Amino acid sequence: MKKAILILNNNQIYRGKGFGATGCFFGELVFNTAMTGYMEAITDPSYAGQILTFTYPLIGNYGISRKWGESPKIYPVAIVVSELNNDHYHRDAHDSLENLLAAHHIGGIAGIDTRSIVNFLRNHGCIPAVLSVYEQEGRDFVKAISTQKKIIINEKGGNTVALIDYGAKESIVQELIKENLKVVIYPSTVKAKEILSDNPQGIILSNGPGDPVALPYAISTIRALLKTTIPIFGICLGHQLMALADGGETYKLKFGHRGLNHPVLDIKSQKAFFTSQNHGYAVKAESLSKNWETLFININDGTVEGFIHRNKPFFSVQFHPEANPGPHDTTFLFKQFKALL
Amino acid sequence: MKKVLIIGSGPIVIGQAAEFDYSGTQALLALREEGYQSIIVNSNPATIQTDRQVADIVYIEPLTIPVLEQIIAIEKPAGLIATVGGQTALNLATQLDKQGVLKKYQVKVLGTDIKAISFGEDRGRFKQLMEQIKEPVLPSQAIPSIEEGLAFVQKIGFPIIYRCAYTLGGLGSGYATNLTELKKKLSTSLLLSPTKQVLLEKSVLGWGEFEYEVIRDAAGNKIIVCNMENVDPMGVHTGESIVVAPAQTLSDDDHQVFRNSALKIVEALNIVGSCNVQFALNYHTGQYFVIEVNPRLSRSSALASKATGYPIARVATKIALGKTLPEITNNITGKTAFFEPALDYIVVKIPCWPSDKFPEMDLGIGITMKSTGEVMSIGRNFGEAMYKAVKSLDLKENIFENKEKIRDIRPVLKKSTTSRLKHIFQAIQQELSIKEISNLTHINPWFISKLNNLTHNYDQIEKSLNNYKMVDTCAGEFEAKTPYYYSTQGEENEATPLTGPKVIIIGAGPISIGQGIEFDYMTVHAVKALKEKGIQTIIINNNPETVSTDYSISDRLYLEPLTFNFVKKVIENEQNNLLGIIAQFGGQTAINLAKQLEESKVKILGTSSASIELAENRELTGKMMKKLGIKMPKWKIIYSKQDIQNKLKTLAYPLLVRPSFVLGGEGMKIIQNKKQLYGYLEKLSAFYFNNPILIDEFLANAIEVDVDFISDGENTISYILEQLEPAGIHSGDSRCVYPPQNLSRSIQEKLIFMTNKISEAFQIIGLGNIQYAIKNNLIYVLEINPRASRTIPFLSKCLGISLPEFATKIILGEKLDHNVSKVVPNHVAVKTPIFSFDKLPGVSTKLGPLMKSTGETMSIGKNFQEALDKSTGRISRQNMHLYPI
Repeated sequence: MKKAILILNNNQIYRGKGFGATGCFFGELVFNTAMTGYMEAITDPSYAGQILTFTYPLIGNYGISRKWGESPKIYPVAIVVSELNNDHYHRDAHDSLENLLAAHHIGGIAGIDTRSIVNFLRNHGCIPAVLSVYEQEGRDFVKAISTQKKIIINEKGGNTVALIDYGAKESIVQELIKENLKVVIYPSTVKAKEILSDNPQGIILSNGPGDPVALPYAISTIRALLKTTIPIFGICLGHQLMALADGGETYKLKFGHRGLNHPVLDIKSQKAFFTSQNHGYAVKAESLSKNWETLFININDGTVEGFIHRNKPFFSVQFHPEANPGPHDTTFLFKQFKALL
Repeated sequence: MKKVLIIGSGPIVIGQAAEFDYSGTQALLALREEGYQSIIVNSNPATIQTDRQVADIVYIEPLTIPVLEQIIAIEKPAGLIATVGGQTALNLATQLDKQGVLKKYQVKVLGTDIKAISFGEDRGRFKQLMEQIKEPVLPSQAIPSIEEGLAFVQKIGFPIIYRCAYTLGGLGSGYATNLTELKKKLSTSLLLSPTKQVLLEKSVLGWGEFEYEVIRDAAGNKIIVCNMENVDPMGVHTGESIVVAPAQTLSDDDHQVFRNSALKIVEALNIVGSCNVQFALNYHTGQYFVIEVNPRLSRSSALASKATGYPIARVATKIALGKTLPEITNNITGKTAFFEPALDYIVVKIPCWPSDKFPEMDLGIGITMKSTGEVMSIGRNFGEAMYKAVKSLDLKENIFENKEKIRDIRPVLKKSTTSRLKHIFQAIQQELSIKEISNLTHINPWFISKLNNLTHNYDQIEKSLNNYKMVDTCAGEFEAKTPYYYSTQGEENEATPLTGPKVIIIGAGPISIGQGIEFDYMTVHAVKALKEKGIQTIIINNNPETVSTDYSISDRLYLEPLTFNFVKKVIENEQNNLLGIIAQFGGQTAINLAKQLEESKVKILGTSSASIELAENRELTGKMMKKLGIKMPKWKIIYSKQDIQNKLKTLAYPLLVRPSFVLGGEGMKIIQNKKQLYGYLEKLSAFYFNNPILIDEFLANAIEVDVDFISDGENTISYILEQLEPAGIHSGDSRCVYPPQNLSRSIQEKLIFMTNKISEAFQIIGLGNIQYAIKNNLIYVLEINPRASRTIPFLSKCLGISLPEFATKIILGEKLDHNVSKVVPNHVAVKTPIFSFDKLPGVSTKLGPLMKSTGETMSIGKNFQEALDKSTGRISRQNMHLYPI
């Protein structure tokens, strides 16, 4: 779900739903009082460089048609409406206004009090404004940053581990090389079948950005891998994805854990460690099935920092055992992983 | 000073309601503004337009040609405006012209002339004109006989529409699909037509229907005030349709085609004033036809005025007097009236039918009108506006989420009925697709899709409405000061509370049988009294037809549903310096609200809710009557089924049975024997399970008397209205006379004495009403109403004073002005109920305790006989004396 913020040059701020293209749009904020003709208006070159507010509150009612275009392009940099309608049934319409705007990289904000904008502009005159349309939750940042093809590193290493790259840090690879493992790095969209056909002795689910729920393809791959008995080690985002793949749930932390001094407790040994952390989401402890037990918890806020399968060689941690930056206190986990292979 | 005559629309009937009091009143005020002396003729006393504060010379007289001719002879007006009194006034003006009356007295028809009017009415000539200007009209033919009708149908085929010219609300019009049907319908229709002509035309059943409200001045300047889209397709009369403004599914191309066409048509017709043009559009092909024009103010123009804030009748009247649009000022913005309003909200109108009153009524809706009133709402999106409109209907059930089981909704959906909206919601719940519902109902899928969304979020809407916005005709482009607001979701509240002392008056909502225009009349009068006292007035109402929802009447108008939550929100917004609310002029709707509001610590001015409870709770009333030593017919209250056997043994038949807390005798019936009683109670308990049922012994052949009174809690002035029909016929359906003619002095004195005692004991502050029955010289109390009754406007006109204004002053804490009691009527007046049975097939015309009349006329005579003769029309031209008030 896109969101949007419209900031007027007098510090007045409107928050609403975003639509069209994501990005930042700058222009003079103006308004139009027509009750029909939004298609003709937005294709009118005279609106170039402006953010156009429609005073009529329902825009998009009859869809869009090339027939109604005054030019082949959309000219306002962004539009402001009270309610955007995507359901259209007009005989001449071939698409919705939202799709047209997205295709032309035009931003939009809806669900705000457009009449109060008009009242403001009437009293103070048209002024510059910035519209930011963004999508945070549920957005997939992984696909674009992951390796696009399979890479093999340390070919002469002993056992082979598969590293699924959701945004893996170089230190993870370095730790594995230290353990004399051959590392095969896969794109985030890899299917379980492809990994299994390479016969790895272990699998690492890497760290990465954003909301794990936005990566359904990764979750389904991991779900298939969990059916095997190949040792799996999840780190950070990989840890969250492993939870989701087994039916668990994740949630957004208020401000996340980002730092080098996060204390975690090993539940079994009651030993505490300082860890390096960088994540905004966490696994809901109560959502994990009975197959798992908690391995680490965060001493500050009690959140789950790691869990381990009761019968199979799967475990994961929320923090970064590879460190860099940060304390090296938990690099022993790579040794433990190697021992499972 | 030049005089101008305005003809009113007469009694309220289905198809011609309060909208013409609104347009007439605006026209009269515009005449005064322009320096003319105004004359109004109307037989309906419950109208603001027949107040001396509005018109300079007022005739409450029968609307007939002889009466009008006599008035013209006496007053010698220079001009006549025929376009603000509905079809009635238009027909009368046409007749006056035909019979040479206008020529004889040199009366000029102002505004749109008779020729243009006849173009709008004579479909043959209209069609010719449209063909001349190349506007598409349906293939049609006016036929004078059945034979010619059949010959025409041979050519164009079925289905076919037949329409009767010069009739109200589509009387004598219908739809035929085969020869036998057509033959039968044509014979009646030809009889009903004043021109002995019926029009046959191609059917565009199921197409989209659009209306354009146009104003043109004599210089040829033209504007479109508003366009409206009927949610119900062609085949359902626009008065029976759910209507939205502005149109929602038209592209700008479509809109401009209609706009050009409408402008071209009013130019060709040479309209000078207001005109309504209706179009049919095939949503799939874009083909359209011009369906009809109304060269006058109409229900639609009233709706358009309330929807936009543009005062159509006022501007049309000024145009009739020779002004041009650019010369006239739009009072809202201070800019020119040559302006096409820009809306930044959506308006929804839903009609109200008397179907809960007449369960036997045929519930189908079509090209003739059955609805008695309508509600309007405003929102910033369709869901908001639709939700508020449905809330305004004040239905007993939740139609958004209906649990009722219907095996197959499909055949039900195919038929247009008064429950159409409910059926669509049911179909959505049964998971019929938007497309299928649209195909079955012929309603544009855009609306179905929006209704579909509403089923998911309707229960969130009320909570989300956190602010009020202004209706300003210009979407905020110009600074406006319209005191006209609606609730919506938003960040800015434009209704900054009024400063200084203020009072909220709760309106009566849509016009229904039993709660008519009389209550709007009183609301407006209360406003006037408050203004005189320097107190600011706020009206809450949802009826677009009326004078009270004209934003220029009160200091502030909130167009909102009349339900507890919505009213409470307005009260919260205006709570600083709020003296209280007045409920007694808003009929039972407002009284029911008052009870709930007082519980939440809102001050009810005038009669308290404890007094209301005392008068409406039979157990309490009975105790009080016993204490006062006043008789009531023997009665019992049934709370449960067990009560029926135990309690009724002591009562003698016939019995009068009714649910408590209802209006206009809803559910009331006279029962002759035990078997009938059991059957009826069974039926009632299904409808009114929450309210106990009242059973009275019925006093057959008694004389019924209505006493209206005004009281400050200590002193009371009573007005005795004698019913001319025996007890058992609802007082609203009974003729009555004032002052009483057949009651002995001692009976009258006793009535006054009893009324004094009751009003003091019940602490009625303001207006009240008691119904008495007199049998064998004994007086019984039938009912005590702790609110103003529907006869108050009639009485006020009889006395030449405004009782609601005096009552308002008492409500504010003043003592009863004893000069009021010295006012005596100069004449005798008869009030005659008027019925709309011709519009309600299936409803029995037999009168009884259930009110059935839709309106009333007042006839004034020097004595009872003359008043009575005027009311029945049995009076010769020579003997007809007129009594201007």
